[in-house]
Amino acid sequence: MIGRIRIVTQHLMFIFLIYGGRAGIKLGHSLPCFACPYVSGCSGHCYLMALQGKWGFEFAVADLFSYEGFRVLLYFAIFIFLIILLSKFWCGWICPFGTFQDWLAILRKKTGIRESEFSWKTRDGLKKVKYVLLAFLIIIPVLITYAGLHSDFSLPFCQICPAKPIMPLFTGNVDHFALDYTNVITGTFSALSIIIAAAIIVGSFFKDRFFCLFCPMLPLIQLFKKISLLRFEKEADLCSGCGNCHRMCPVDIRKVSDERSNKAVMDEDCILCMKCQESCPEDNVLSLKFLKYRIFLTSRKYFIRNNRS
Amino acid sequence: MNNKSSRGKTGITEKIFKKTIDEYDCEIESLKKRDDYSPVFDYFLNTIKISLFPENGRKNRVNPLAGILCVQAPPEILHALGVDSIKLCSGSIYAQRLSSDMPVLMCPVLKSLAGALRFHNSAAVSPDCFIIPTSCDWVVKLPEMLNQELPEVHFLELPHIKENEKSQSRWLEEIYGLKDRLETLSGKKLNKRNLRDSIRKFSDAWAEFNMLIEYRRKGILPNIWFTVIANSFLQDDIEKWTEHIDIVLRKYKQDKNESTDSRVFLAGSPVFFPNLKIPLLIEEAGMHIIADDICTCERIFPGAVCCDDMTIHGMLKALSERYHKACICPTFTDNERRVNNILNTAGTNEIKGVIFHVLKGCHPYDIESITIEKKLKERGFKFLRIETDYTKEDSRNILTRLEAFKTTL
Amino acid sequence: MKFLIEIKKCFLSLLSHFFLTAVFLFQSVISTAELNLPDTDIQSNSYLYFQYDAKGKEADGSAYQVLKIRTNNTAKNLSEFDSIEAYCRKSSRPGKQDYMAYRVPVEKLNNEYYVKIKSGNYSIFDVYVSGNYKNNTYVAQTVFYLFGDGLKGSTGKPGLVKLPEYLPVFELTESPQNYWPQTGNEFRFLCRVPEGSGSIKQMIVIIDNKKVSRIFTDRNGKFEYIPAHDIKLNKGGTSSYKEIILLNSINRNGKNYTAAFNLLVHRSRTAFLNVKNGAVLFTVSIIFFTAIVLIKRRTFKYK
Repeated sequence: MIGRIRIVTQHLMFIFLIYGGRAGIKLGHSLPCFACPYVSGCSGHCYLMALQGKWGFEFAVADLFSYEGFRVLLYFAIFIFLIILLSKFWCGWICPFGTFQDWLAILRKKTGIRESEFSWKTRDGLKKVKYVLLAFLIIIPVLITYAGLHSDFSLPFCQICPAKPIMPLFTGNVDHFALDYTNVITGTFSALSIIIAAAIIVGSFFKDRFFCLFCPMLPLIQLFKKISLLRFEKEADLCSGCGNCHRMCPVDIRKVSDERSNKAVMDEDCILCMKCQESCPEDNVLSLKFLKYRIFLTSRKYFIRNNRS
Repeated sequence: MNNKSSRGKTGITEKIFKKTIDEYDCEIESLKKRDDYSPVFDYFLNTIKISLFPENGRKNRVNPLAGILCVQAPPEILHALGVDSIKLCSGSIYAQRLSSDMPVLMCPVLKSLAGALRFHNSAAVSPDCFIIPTSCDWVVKLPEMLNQELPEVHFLELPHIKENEKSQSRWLEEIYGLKDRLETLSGKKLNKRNLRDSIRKFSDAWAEFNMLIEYRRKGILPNIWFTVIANSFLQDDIEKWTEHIDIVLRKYKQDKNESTDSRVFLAGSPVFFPNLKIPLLIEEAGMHIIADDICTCERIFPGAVCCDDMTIHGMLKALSERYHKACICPTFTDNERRVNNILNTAGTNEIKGVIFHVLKGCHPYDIESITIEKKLKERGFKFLRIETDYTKEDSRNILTRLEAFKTTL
Repeated sequence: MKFLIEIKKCFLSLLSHFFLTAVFLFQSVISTAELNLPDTDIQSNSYLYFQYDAKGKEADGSAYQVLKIRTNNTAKNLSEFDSIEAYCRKSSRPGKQDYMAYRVPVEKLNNEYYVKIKSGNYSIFDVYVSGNYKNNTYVAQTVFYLFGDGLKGSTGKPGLVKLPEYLPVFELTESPQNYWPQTGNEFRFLCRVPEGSGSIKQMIVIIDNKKVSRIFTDRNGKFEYIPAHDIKLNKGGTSSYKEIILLNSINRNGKNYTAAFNLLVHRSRTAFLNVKNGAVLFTVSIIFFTAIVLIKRRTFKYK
């Protein structure tokens, strides 16, 4: 049931975020999801762009006490607020790029091709990539501002982000699939962007939520896990260790299944799709809470009802 | 086949076989005399007997027949490939006499099974293949002890560590191996739709069976009948079995919850028909078994398989994980979750006492009883360990202990 | 085998595209050089022009643009001019025909003259400066956008005056990328001249104090100008620009009027995009990664 609600929500959010701007909706620049600013007529912008640009690390600290400085802090504050409010719901339920990846996964399932899997070692190794990307999107803007790095390096992550070429396709814009021959830097970035987009499309076809394994937004959201209003908890004593949650997880998190003592089981890679909760056949093991209110609690009855038909 | 029948069923085998049939009939008769007997259980009582006469249930058999031991081999694959299955497990005390050449301290289940297999072997219709997961030592060595009397044994090497990648993929390989083996046996290729349907059928069966468990928890369904139903799992077609469970469920649907006191949890070694000694004695002592974690009762299913990737690989993986990771057989290295299961079930169902059944020679349970006793007592549960075998000589003695235990609850 | 040949074809086409583009870039350098007119021609004209200077944001969030007022090397020093006056016309959308303007103070610092335009919101500014020297009137003009988004909007409404009617004003009538003028864009001008002074038939294009070309009116009396791509701009960052001076002059009642329009252009954002090559690269990448996945995929086989 949750799965269906999620799919409906995802699609509504996709339409809302990609085309909402055409209806005059402006949600600002601080969304913690890949609502790509390169989509003309989108209703809000991914915070990663603000973060890399002049409202983030391209901002010179000397101007802190100015209107611009105020904006930098304001956008960051909104970003934090949105994260505290909805945490990883941004990933699993709202992010339009995530929805796009889910479409590819649905396509794979329809064609009957099996999902690819990583060995545990590879999977753990991939965890580091998003921190590399995060460092990349922080250091380069700082270098532009303070070390005179060429301004064509501006918005480095956006320039290689697969959402940049892919998402504008939904408004009929193929320009971001072009090779940019302006100079060596733009040429390299555009070529890299196209190659990465292709890799991510192929990847997400063969593997659920392939890009989410590298998404630098995840560690940013994870930073505020402790103060988030949403809590994903596990009663480890009640777990039978059946591994359903691990198998159903689109990003292959083992923690939920293997955790034996800690209550908080929201992993850094978790996208809160709640598939694990839906697939847990034991009563009261996993729960999702908003403040003290319980949104969902696993139960065998729910599992049986959900898996029938 | 002719060769087998000419060799078997002579002299002593014949005699013991008859005795065993009597034993079954006697037990069935006594069950039928119970106050809570109802004709809805006839199907299950008849099905249980199939393990003695595989030919009875399979007169018009066209499908190959495979015998499954223990609970780790996924019957879904057999069903998907059109291989019929019977569960290899025996509670017959007479059948043990056919395995007198085996070690004295051997686990009674296996001893009885060895004897019963010797009937099978001599029967006109015996399984074409034996699927044996390497759970405990007795199980592992059984085929060898039977001097290769078993026609075709397919071992599934059970990795005894659950939570690491190597063992999980090792077990998946074993499941693939089983698939290959069964494909050769049945001459069919496993296809996606059959496997999916099969998983669904077993899921439905589990859902129904789960209702039975719930009825027992509520005290509506008497434990003895629950045990009988669980024991008849896999002896007949799964859909038929599910249908009959549904009939039982419908019968008890109207009944109100019975507030039972002296609720106990039965843990430990397998209880299999016709050896219902322990459940019957507990009943006689005035206690009610509300829950158990016995692999021939509540644990016949590992739980329903859910699967996101509906390809053959995805489903086989799901099956392999479900039958391996979710299994709390004591032969696994780590059984924290087994203790947790007892604690939680007991905790949520107002169960105060845990009776731990150890069959003499059943080492894994014997070993585990120590840690479980310690952990249960820490949490304030009453614990009683009963070590026995299939013989009825010690019944009075056990009953006295059980009655004493009841007063502590 | 066919599949391999297809891949090979794709690679070759990709390579050839890269090569052709390199050649194209090289040629564009040569063509700019060819356009240069002999230097002697420049001696005859003196003119006053704007040069773009510092641009930025104030602490309150409003944007500003500083324009330096310069004379070319043949003209007199600005201090010898009399009545240097600056006007500014502000509108919120392009192409608004409104001749009301307000005066802007001309600041002097270290013998250099400046105009500073400030805006608290998104606006288009048409800035003029005029100066007289002897019998000549010189006018400089430019148009630019400011993206202010401060807490307060504009600093009050300035008193509006009518622009002096003698100014031969450049009307930028059509421009595809108004807020971000780029090389390769088509710019169309209308030159409004005072009554009785005939019409302007030609303009001189000056880049880096060098006369580069002349442009003539078309049938509708409009000038059309397409700034050529410049490899220097391409190599610079996104905000690098070049200033192109469009010069015209008229004679009215024995007085000379010379007007210089500063057209600031950035590098083209679209001219060097090649979607076709991108698509080829994309397709090749898709095939490549699919092949990798299919080959490297872990398979479970019973051994």
